[in-house]
Amino acid sequence: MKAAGVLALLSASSALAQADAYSPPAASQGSGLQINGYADVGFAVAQGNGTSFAPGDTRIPADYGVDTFATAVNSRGDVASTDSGGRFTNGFLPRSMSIGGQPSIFLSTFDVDLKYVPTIAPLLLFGRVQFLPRYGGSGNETRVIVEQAFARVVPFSSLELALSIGKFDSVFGIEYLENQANLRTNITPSLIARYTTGTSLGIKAFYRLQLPGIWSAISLNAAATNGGTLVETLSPPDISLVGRPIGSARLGYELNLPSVEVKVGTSGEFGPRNDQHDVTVHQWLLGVDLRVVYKGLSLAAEGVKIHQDPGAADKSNGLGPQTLVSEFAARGAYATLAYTLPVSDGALRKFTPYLRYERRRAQFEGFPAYTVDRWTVGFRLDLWDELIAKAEGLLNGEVSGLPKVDNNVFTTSFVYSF
Amino acid sequence: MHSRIAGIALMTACACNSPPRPAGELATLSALIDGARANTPDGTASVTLRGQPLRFLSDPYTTGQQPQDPARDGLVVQPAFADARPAAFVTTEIWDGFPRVWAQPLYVPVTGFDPVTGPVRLPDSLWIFGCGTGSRFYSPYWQTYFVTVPAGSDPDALRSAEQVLSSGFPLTPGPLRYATIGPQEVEVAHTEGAPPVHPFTLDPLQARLPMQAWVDGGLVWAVDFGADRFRVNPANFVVQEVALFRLALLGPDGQPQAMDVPPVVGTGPLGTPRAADAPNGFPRFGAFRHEYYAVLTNPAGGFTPGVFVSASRPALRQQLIAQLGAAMVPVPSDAAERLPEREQYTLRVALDGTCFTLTDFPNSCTWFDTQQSIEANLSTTAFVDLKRFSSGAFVFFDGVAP
Repeated sequence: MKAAGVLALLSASSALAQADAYSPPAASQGSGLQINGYADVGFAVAQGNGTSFAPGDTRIPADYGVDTFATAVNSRGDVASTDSGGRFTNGFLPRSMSIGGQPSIFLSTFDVDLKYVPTIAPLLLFGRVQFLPRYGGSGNETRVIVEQAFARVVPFSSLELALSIGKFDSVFGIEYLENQANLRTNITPSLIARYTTGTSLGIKAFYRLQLPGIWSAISLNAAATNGGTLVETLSPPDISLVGRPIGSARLGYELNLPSVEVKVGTSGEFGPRNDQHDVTVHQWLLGVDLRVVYKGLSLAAEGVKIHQDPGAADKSNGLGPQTLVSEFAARGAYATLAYTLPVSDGALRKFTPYLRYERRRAQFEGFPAYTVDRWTVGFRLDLWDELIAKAEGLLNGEVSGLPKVDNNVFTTSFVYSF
Repeated sequence: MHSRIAGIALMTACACNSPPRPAGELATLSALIDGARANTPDGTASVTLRGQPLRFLSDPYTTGQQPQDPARDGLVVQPAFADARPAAFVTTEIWDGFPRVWAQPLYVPVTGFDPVTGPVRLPDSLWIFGCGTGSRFYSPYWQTYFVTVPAGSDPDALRSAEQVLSSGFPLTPGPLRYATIGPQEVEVAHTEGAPPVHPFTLDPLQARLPMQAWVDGGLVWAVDFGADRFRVNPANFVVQEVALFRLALLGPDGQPQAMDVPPVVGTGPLGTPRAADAPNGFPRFGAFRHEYYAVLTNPAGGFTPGVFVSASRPALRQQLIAQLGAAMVPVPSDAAERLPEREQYTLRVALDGTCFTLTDFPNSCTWFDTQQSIEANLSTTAFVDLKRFSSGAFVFFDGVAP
C-alpha cells in the first residue's frame, strides 16, 4: 500500500515538476536527501555607463522616465549598472552587477538545491539557496538568499493535485519556468519578467485534468502570497507589509499531439501592493501566454498588463525604504523563437540559436508614457549534460517618450550543473 | 460566526495599532485654488478668490473691505517675520508627509551667450518644464538649463524634456529659479487697478504675471518669482529647507492651537539657524518651509507673551483679546504709539508683553521674530513637527519687494 502511494506520488510529481520547473523530475530520484545545483559564470559588456540613464537628464526620480531594467546581463535580470550619479531614485530598479561600461567576468549565481522526499509520505521538501557574489559602491555586496523553500503534498493519488506552502515560483504566465540559468534557453529575462517571475511566500495549489480523448489537458495554478509575482526589488516577498495576501492564478490548456505541442494560458493577479502598507492600495495584472513546439522549433510568447494604484509616502521594497507610492501602469509582450539542433552524442550535444523581440510601454504617475523595445539574438550550446554556454546581444531601443541612450549589451553565460 | 467577528475585530485592532503613515499629499496651486472654492483652511489661507475680500486688507485688520481683483484669483500675501524684519510670502504648494522635495530641470532655449548680457533667448520660444503638476514629484523649484539651438530654429520645436534630451543640443546649467505652474488667471493678490501691497506696511510688491510654457508637449501657465530664491544640495537637487514657526498655545484638549498671528520664517532647518542669505536684500531663503508649531507655554522666565497691536487697530485688538485674553494683548505705551514704524510690529509677539508699556519700546522687548530667539526662549518640547512643507517665495523682506 505504501509502495503504491509512493509510486502515485512520483508519477504525479513527474507531471507537476513540468508545471513548476523548480527541480529535475522527481521520478528520477529516489527518496532521501538530494543535493543539486549549478553555477552561472558570465562575461558582459554594456554600452555607455551600463545604465539607461540618459546623459544630461536630471529629472527626478531618475528611474521614472527610463527603463532601468534594459541593460540586463544575466538570468537574474541584474543589470550592468544602476548608478544614477547621485540623482534620486524611487525604487524602480533591478539589482546591479555594478560593472558599468567596463567589460567584466562575474559569477552571477552559485545555486544549491536541497530536496527531500520521504519514503512514507506524499511529500516533497525543497530548498534553494543561492550565493550571489557582488561588488558595488560600498565594497563587498555579496548576498545569500533563500530563493525557494517549500513543502509540497500530493493528497490524492488519483488526482493531479499538489498543494504547496512556503516560498516558491510564480504561477503567472510562463517565463518563471525559465527563472534559473540552467533551465533558460537564453540568458536575460524579458522586459516584462519583472512583473511575472518573482518568487514569493504563501500557499499554492496546482491541479491538472487530463483529457486523453482529445490529447489535451487543462490546468489551474493558483497562489496566495505576500509579494505576488513582481520581482523582489519591486515587491518584497518575505513578509506581508499590508497584512493581506495577493492572489494570482493561471488557467492553462495544452494540446499534446504526437508531432506538435501547443500550450496556451491566461493569468491574473489582484491584491494590495506589497511595497507599501495601505490595504486599499491595489494592483492587478492580466496576462496571456502561448507556447508551440514543433520538432526542434519552439515559439514562446507572452503579454502582460499591470496597474498599480497610488498610495501614500511609505514605499518600501527590496531595495529599502523609498518615498512616494506612485501610480503605475505598464503593458508589454515578447516572443521568442528558438530552434534546437541536435548535433552529436559527444561533447557538443545541441546547438540552439534564438531570437526574441519585445516591447514595453510604461507610465508613472505624472510622467509621460514611454515605450521601449528590444531585439535579443543569441545561441546556446549544450556540452555534455552538465555544461551550457550561451551568448547573446541585446539591442535596446527607445521608441517614444524617452531620450535616446546607448545601452546595448553583449553578454555570455557558462552554466555548469551538478 | 463568532470566529468571523473575532477575525474582523482582530483586523480592526491591527489597523488601529498601525503607525501613522506619511500622507505623501501634494497640493498644487490649482488644488489650493480648488480648496479656496471649497472653503478649506489651506485653500483660503493661500488663495483669495476673485472678488472676495482680501483678508489682511479688510476688517478687522483695517476698516472696511478691499476685494481681490474680480478678473483673477489672488495669492494671499501672508505677513510674516523673518530675521527680525517684516516680511511677507505667498504659498503656492503644500506637501504633507514628504521626506524632502527636489528641484526639477527647466530648459530655456537660447541661441548663444553674450559676454555682457548673458544667454540670448531664442525669439518667441517658451520655457520647457521637466516635470508637470500631475506628478507628486513636481515642485516649483527648478534648475535652469540653457539649451543652445541654432539661430532661426522653430521656437516651438522643443516642447518636452524628452525632446530636449534627444535633440543632442548642448545644455548649460543656469540659475535656480522659482516658478509655479497653475491656472492662467492667478496673480499675487491685489485690488483692482492697484499693485499688491504688504498688508501692514503697505509697501508695494511686484506683480507677477502668468506666462506660458511647455510641459510634456502641452502648454501650461506659470508664475515666475525669479532666480536665486532658494538653494539646493548640488549633489542630489534636494531643496534646502528652513523652519517656519506657527506660534501656538495649548488648547483645553492639550493640543496646540495656532495663534492668529504672522508666522516666523527661519533662516535654516530647525535647530540650525544660519545668517540670513539675502544679497542686496533679495532673500535666497524662505521659499521652502518646514512647518512647526512653536507652543508658547512656559517660555523662558515664566513671562506672559504679548501680541503687539496698535490702538489704531481697535477691531483687531478686540478680536485678539477675544481669542487670547487681554493679558496677551497689552495696551501699547504712548511712546510705542508715537513710533512712525510701529506698523512693522503689528502682530509681532514678544516674550514678555509688558515691554509694550515701557517707554523704551521696542528696545525693551525680546521678540519672537527670529529663529534664534524662538529656539533660545522655548524648550525643545515646544516644537511640534507638522510634517508639512510649504513653498512660496518672499514677496517682501526688510523693505525690499523681491
